[in-house]
Amino acid sequence: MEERATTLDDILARKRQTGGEVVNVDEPAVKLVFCSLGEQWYAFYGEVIREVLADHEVYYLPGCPSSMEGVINVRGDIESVISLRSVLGLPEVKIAASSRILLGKTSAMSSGIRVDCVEEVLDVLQSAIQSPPHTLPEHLRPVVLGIVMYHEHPVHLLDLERIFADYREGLC
Amino acid sequence: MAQAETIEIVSFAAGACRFAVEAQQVEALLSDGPQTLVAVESLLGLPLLETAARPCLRLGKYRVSVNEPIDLRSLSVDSIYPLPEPVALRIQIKGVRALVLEAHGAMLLLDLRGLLAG
Repeated sequence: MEERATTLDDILARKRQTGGEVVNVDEPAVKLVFCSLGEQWYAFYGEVIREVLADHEVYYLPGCPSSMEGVINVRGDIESVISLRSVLGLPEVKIAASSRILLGKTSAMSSGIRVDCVEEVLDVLQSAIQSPPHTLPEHLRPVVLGIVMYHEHPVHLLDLERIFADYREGLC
Repeated sequence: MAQAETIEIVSFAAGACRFAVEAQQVEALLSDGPQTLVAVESLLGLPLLETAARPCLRLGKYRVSVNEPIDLRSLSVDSIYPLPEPVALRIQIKGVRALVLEAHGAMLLLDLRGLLAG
């Protein structure tokens, strides 16, 4: 019997079935990933950051928004890389050696997030997270969950769920 | 040792980027013919920068003009990936089926027949 040649449809169907679930481990404290963009400090809940990557080759793709740097191959899984600077409306800068890619995953989507630097991953008391101030710039209000002090810096705790949901909709 | 699984592709350039299509979609490489001439850039939604005569891929009743280099080659299935969801949602190029990652860079695998039929 003649064997059927492998088609692209076969390959894509097979590859879509791979990829594991992220194990959601309950943390006794709120784990935050602190990062910076220039002089500005930000944080994400640790539960939405799977991994911090350094020195990963980013493959440029044509036809994508300027906020999308390209894609990376993480042990066989392909992830997009989005510039947090671009998403937050900050000017782009040359990628420095200290730059890192956070691998983020929410119910909306998963993607890499380019930041200038990752400062630390810390457990923080929930009570240390304060409500966002009324003076917060208009464009940040939808994506900032609160403010936490870190080394005497006010740090914006970002809502990755909202950022990714907006990104899916083409809003940022 | 088992040989790596492969598919045949025809790769080409458009603009400054590399693209490919399954070889089974392409009937011939032509420079001229009676088929309707279509620039690949117009199919993909890219700006057409090239106005000189170019080689064409014959797909049914169409000739699709592309930039060189044009290669017919085997591609390991290990280098073919579905588009990550954010890319699939936001990419503005039409007809992209998959992503190819190789040592020298990324390439988009297209469904040109689907675009021509649509």
